[in-house]
Amino acid sequence: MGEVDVDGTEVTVSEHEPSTTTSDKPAPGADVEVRIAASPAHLSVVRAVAADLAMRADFTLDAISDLKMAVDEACSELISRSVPDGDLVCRFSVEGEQIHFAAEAATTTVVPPSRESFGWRVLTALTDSVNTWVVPGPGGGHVLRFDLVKKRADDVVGL
Amino acid sequence: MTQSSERATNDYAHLDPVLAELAGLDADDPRRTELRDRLVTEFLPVAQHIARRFGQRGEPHDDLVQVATVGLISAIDRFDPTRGSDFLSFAVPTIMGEVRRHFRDTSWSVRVPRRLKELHLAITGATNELSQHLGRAPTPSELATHLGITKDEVYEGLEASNAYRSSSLDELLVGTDKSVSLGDALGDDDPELMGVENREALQPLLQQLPERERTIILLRFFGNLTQTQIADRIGISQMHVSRLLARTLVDLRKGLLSE
Amino acid sequence: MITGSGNVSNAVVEQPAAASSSVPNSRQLPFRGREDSGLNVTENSSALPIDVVVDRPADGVVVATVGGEVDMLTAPALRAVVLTELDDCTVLVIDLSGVDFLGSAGLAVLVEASHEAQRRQVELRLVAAGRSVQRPLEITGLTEVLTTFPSRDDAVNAPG
Repeated sequence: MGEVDVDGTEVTVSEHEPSTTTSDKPAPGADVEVRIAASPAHLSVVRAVAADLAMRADFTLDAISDLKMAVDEACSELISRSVPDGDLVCRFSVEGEQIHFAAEAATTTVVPPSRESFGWRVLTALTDSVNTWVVPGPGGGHVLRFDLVKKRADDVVGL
Repeated sequence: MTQSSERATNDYAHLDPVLAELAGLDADDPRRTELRDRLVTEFLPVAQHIARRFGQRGEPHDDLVQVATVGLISAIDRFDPTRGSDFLSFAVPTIMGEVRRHFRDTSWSVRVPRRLKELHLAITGATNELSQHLGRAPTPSELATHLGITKDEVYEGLEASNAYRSSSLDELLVGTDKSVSLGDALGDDDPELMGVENREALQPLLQQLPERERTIILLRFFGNLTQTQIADRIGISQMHVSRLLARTLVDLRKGLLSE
Repeated sequence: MITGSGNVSNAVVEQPAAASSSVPNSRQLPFRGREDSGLNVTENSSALPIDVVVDRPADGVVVATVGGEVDMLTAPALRAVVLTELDDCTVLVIDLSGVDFLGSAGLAVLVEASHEAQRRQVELRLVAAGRSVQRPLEITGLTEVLTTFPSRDDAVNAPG
């Protein structure tokens, strides 16, 4: 189900959970889970965790900055669509040369973010792969998910 | 869209028409004073909240409230509701800016540990050097190796620029206060190391430093020279000075703590 | 210090500093916007992790020096200050040297500021120094659209 966007980032946008890669379960071997009220005031917490994990995983300073921005973008999208008093659940997995980030929240919307939006283009520019999709939530609602991978360095000689 | 219940009810909504009326008055309209005073009184809690936030730094609270209130009055005078934003969105950052400007304009030093400042400078310099050399941004371990400090120290320096403090880090690094205290540089908030210039423990440690490093410390903290001036004086690059300074401060601190 | 009727209470008033009404022009933002995109000010957060110092170093020139983070929470604050200052100058310098984080909400404000500046025939100049600001501008291609300088002095002294 993967398509390749213009800059080579693998992108999947669908209304249903992609059948191939990601499962319904939390990312395997998640190192850190962060659960916050879906409010803009808490974005700095998730950014700080992202930056700290990437720093300790010896990411380049640019990769750290990109991951921070991508995490902020995904969480901001989730917060802007969240149901009242909703929570945002984020999971970070440090997997060798990359960090895998997954986040979800119960949302009011059925349709995932548009791939034409500026925010989406920002996400594809910043990450090595990114997915977003909607699944049914408990009690007849909807859950929006984001899933992204950021590598420790761009594919250049030396790392 | 949706309203989260975390949002408080709009206690200031009743002041929107007052703000609008004030913005429409001429500068010399006598009604200005009355409206302005009412707005200042009603929005005062906002200024007080902000002053309290800065108050952890040890400055007298009344002075902070006064500065914040000046900021509030200025915001009330300048605000124009027809610009499409709300008053608090405008007032809060500008009041905070006023308080920050006040810090800069007085001799109080904001308690950002100077060791972190030096570390940050060193890391910035090393990052520039390494980026040119590697053709990409460096990693923390590369920075640690290059600077001759531990990864934890690099983490500290990087984390310092990740969190918001009430003054911009760059502003503090450039700084208008000329005198730089070695005690500050070594002591941070560590009670064990406060007032360390006067302690006899420091003298032998300084004597033990290699001559170049000792010169740099003396020029920086007792001669109050900038890194660039020091670099010119001893004939190495500013970035080299920065590196040596960061490393020497780390070593001095370790030496003092192991007493 | 406060002039007036003398009814100012000296007691600390513990009331929640409330949320503002929704921003009427939020639809004009080209990117994601919540309808309630005014400032979310609650009891514990009258202070925000952003501040702006405004000064006027020369005739018609306004410099807004921003410190802190510009994200979904604080972008409305930057927007409010910038739109107010655009009223009152021929050159507006937004100095982002002290910004530790600049996300897409902040980029949206800069783009809107750029459009507004053009409308009012004000020259908009940014000071972009450091990875936290330069990288977002580069990644999104906004360095092509916005005029940036490496330092405040460069921005203020550049020929008009």
